[in-house]
Amino acid sequence: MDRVDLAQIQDAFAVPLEGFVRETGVRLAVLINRSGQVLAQHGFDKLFDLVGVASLAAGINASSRALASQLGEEEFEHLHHAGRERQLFLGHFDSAAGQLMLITVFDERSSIGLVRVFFEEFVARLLELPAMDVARTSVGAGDFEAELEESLDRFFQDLIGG
Amino acid sequence: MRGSPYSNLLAHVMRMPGIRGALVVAVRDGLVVDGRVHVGVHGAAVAALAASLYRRACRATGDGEEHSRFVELDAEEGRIMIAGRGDLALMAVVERRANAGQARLAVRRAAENLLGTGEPA
Repeated sequence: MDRVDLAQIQDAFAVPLEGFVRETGVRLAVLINRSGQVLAQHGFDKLFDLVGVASLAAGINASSRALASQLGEEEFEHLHHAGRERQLFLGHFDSAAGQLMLITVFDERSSIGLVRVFFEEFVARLLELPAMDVARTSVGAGDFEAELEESLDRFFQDLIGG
Repeated sequence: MRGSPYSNLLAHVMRMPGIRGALVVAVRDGLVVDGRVHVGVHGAAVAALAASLYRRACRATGDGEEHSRFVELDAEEGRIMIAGRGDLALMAVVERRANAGQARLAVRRAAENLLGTGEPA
């Protein structure tokens, strides 16, 4: 995916993502592709490392698909991690741009029920965007592979101070 | 979800004329524990949105969600009634033509039996 196409997609994705945030009351939301590349985000600031969260979530998604395969499932529908104060939801879906994933963090102001209901609406809105056709023509499987390696390398280098 | 501990309770509420759905919902998560809904009623959405409303009402009145509460949303086409007990709430989607007083009574009475119903003997 070249830079021009990515910018077009990011602009288009911002509107449905803001709608999702407004309706659910989640604190953080980020839309990434399978390699962990950020397509749209809301709420990340200095406290939360956006690239780190995106890369780790891509890793979780890959692990859960492998686990699903071990258990004889094609894939798990969603992933939900509940902490004492914050909860994490990872929902993925197929699009013309390949598999995309929404990662969202919420607290007691929202709920997993709300997030699940509005996730479905978010996906429907996103798939109707004309920008998805741009993505269809600009993304290849080879790009995913390269981006995944690059972003994971970058993340782990940051972690170990390399 | 036939045969759950809440089957009888939900069946009792659904017997009221004008009730289009009855749901037992986990208040914190907004997820359906068990429910009966007519065709066209999106149970998961009702549960999530009504649980959100219920939690906000509890917070606004300064009481925790553990107290018994009754919240009613009055809309043009009908009503949503929510009666909570602890972590659970009983929700009913009620048509405009239904007898609201009887529906309230049925929902409240059913909610009173929520807490003990799901516990192991």
